[in-house]
Amino acid sequence: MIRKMADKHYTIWQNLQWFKIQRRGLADEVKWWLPGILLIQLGVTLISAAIPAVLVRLLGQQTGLPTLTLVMIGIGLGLGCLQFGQTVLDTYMHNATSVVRMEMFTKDGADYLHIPYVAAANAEVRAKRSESMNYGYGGDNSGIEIFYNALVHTALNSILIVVDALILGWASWWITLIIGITTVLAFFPQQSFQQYRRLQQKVIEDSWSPRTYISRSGFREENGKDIRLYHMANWYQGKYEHFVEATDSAQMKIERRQFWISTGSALLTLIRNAVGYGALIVLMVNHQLSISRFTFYFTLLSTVGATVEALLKQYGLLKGANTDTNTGRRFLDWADAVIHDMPKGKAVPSFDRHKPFTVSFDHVTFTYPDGQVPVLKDISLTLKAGERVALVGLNGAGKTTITMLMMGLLTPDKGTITINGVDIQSIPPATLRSYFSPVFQEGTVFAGSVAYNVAMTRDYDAQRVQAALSEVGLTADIAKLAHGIDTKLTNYIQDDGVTLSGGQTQKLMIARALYRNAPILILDEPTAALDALAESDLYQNYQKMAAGKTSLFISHRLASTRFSDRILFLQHGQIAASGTHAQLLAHCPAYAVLYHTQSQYYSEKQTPEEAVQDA
Amino acid sequence: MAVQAALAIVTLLQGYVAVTFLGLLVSQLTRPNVTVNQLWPITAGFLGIIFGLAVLGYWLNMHAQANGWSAWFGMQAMTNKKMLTVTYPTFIDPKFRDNYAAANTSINYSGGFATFITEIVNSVCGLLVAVLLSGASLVALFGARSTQTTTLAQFANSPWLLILMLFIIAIPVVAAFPLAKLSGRFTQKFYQYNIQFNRIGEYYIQKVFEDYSIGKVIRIFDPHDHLVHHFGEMNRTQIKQDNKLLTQATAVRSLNNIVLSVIVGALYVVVGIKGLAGAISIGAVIAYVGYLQQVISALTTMMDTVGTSAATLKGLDQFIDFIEYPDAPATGKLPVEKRLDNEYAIKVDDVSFRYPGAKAWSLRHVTLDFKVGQRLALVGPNGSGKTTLIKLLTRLAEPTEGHILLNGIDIQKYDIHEYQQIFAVVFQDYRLFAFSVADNVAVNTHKDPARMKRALTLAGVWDKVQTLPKQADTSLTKNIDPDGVDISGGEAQKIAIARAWYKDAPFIILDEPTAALDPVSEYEIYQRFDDLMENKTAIYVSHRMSSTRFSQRIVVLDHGEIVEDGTHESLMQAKGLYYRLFEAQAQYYTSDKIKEERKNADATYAIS
Repeated sequence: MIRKMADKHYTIWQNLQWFKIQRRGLADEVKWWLPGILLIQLGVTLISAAIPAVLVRLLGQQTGLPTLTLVMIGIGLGLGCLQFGQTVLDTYMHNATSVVRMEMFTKDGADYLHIPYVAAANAEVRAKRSESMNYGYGGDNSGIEIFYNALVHTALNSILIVVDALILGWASWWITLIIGITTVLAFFPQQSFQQYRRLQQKVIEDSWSPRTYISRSGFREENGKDIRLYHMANWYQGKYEHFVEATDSAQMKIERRQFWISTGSALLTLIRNAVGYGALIVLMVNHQLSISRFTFYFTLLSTVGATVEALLKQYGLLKGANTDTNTGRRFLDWADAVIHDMPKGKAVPSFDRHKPFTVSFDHVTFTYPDGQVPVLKDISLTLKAGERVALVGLNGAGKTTITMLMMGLLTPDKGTITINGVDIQSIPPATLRSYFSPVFQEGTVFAGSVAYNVAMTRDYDAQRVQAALSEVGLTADIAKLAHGIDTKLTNYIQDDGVTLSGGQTQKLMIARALYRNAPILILDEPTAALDALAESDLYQNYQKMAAGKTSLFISHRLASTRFSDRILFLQHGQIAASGTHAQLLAHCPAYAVLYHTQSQYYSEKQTPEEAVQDA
Repeated sequence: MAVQAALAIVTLLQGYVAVTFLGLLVSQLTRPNVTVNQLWPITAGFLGIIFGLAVLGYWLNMHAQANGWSAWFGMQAMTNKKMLTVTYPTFIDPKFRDNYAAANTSINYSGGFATFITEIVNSVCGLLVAVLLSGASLVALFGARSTQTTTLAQFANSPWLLILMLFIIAIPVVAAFPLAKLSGRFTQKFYQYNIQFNRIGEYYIQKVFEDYSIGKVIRIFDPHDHLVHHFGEMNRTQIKQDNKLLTQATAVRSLNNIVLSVIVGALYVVVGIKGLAGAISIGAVIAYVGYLQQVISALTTMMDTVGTSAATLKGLDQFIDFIEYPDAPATGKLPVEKRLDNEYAIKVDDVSFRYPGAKAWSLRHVTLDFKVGQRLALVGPNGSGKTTLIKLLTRLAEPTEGHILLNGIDIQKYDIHEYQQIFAVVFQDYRLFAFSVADNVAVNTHKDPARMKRALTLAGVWDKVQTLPKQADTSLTKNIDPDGVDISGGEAQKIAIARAWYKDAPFIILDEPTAALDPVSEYEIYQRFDDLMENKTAIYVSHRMSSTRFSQRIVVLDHGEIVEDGTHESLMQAKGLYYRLFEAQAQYYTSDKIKEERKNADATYAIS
């Protein structure tokens, strides 16, 4: 069973503590962000408000030109430097926190590779994970990217408003009061606006991912042929534009709502300014204020509106980012818990890796989490040390599942699997996996050199790479490439990366398994993309490849069974028969039908129609 | 455009009104015996104007934003459309693909045309209005003369003060050019770095860590997480470098702030001289400096726009380059004759083909004609040119030499859309998309349910589709629809075959259609051939030599040349490449027939 992913509602404070743990050692300098920006911003606000006041004072005192020049240019220089520092500090610190978000990609990737394979392949887990990524750490607008930035600026603007209100209180407490009241009032419509905005943003996010899917898959080179020959462009573009329109209309709704909210806050600013300016004018007229102090207070009060607006905006961002961070943490926390609960294995068994291994299934039953019926029902089988076994059966009979169970990628519901008599559950997973050299059905080529793709490490033995390539008959093909085994494959990250053909890829996959040289060799449909001659070569070579190893060969090409010591015929999740080709042909009718179905077309004497009737 | 201009003017006016208000208030308040009652009208009036301008500004901003979004989305849709509609050779051209990536990056980063136009309109309108308003105030400022007789007053009355002020204003303007240029260069450097950074990130995040079947390979072959660690380290170094470049670019751009701030200080001094000399009141000093500040900031915005426009313009160039990317081969205009009798004759006449940039020929001097209704098998080792020949026939590629003729006319002369309508192809790497089964079969907004049913039935997947949650309306995969389902490779292949049949084209081409199927499913497909093909011309490519038994004619390719052409019997007798290919597979089955008879008797029965 796969553990459910729970929605947790962490508070801003809890997420801050979490964030601090995540940034440790990566972006420690970020802790200076708030104090630094606060000092600078206070300086900028106060000096800006003071400039006209100072000028008024100097002119009022009939100060000399040299002093005037010195003071004004000095203040200008100071202010300029502070503003410069503010922009640079904000940019730098914001990007420094991005490191934390980027680190989540690594964590997410590592988690995805460490959770049980059955969970990684589960559609629901994948959907939830992609939601976590989209909202939590996927892009420039995701929760973890914005969270700390918004927190710092919420705190900054709150403190600025308090400081402004206190300074203005010096002139009149009425002003402090009205600032307090209007600021609190401004928060009311903001709450519902943020909710509305999130709703619309969900629409935008929801159409973002299909839109990205459409443009990405439309751009994929391998999709180009079908899209063109079936004239899908209009249909496909229509789907794209449908989602673009949804995004556009949601965005418009936000803009319209934003207008009314802004108008509301302009009204509050009007009230604040009416009371504030009124108070200052009355004080001035009553000679309780000097003209320079009046100018200072007046200018300072004018800036409060912008600060309140900034506070509202940042607080809204913070709330949103907190919710998004929770969504992001949902997968990450879940994965931590799941990985923690996974069996770690006991001791590393002291097997001699140079001798072939024995693999046994004892009454093994397995059901996929979303499947109703078991794929494998009470299966018992043994691959004897050094034996070459062919596994045969229809699509969906459970052949590949058997190999996945063996390698510990899947865990049986019932029964045990042993290697050399040791239960694989007690073997540390990394050790267990190192016992196998599999060739999977799909060819997986990584963006790296040929040598990397064979050795699967950047630290490879060039001679052994060459040997593996030569054994699968790729030496000549690779030699033709611009940099031999150092040639970069795929064009994912490199324009001049080479794309191999289907046949070449399949051979490369076999070379990868050979380089690994593990005691158990698994070949799952290794000939599907090979031509008849290459297929035949592989069969001939199989003897050599499997020498000194235990091996399992899965193929729809029943010819492959001729090179195996024993055939296991899998039907309806059970082993229907086991034996040599001749034995199965004689005693297992289902196998015989399968074989005749395929071999009839090669028969010299019959026409296909006759052969079909025979079968 | 008009909205942007109005917005620019309103924004600027807000600044002027605020400054004028403060100036006026200070002037009034410094008068002796001023009463509160005298000041109410001005205060109320100004507060009203400021409020009105703010609301007007928000309203204009809403429209400007809406225009911006629409333009931005429009650009994305245009890019997507272009990418979908270019011909195949252009589509796979690495240069085109680079252009696509560059156009996307530039749209995402620069904000596209909308931002650019907003910036230009804003800065030009802002500057014009600022110069007009401030120009008027300058005339007033220099018209105000001091009656004092000090040296300072004489200087304040002389034109030298005006010259000094113009000189001061010129400083940030002059400084802005090189600074903006420098900043543009850093910004460009940052973008450039980001393109590759994003590409690497996307590869890992969207591909390596996303596809669980890749994850399976990593789990087994890389149990110690070398790949993840490599990604983590690369990621950390790259984001640090990215931050460095962005901070540099920002720092350079902000340098002008310091210059500007000092200049404002200097302007205060210049206007202050007039004040000290008694030519203008203190309130007027504040107002005048405010006006001048507006001019300077308008000028700086302008300079900044000019400077960064190099980077923005380059981004837009990339977008335009992509939209206008030449797509030469789709030039044919000739309609394809609709023939109910499907009497289409195709002749391949001495065709050779070489992939762009490749040295070796993929096809050399191939001559072949197809008879209507014929079933033709195309056979040959990996890399012998079979798929290439199909690409040429379907105009996914154009012959380097020679011609292909349809009813006697070069196929390049036909309208490509009409021409491709006569082919239905199932490639070995056929593709389905994350929409419904019905969508995938019809690939059109208009669907014919009866035909859909027949297509799925013929392909042998109708029963399976009926078991899906929403039958034919069930989405494939959960990429778009959370209720979508994952289907097996064999089922997907059958849906691809149904799509080909649904298209109802006179030519049907099957390229390795049974590679993923077990012998029984393969047999089923073979059995349905007659229904699938009807009276169509069929071309069949397969490594399963057994499939040639359904073909009246077999063409064998090797190293891009036709080496054999005949029936199964004639080619087996010729003992050439076909014979070797066939025997390579058949030996395991035919020789067996004899042994099988012999061994049957003494076989032991064994079930474990």
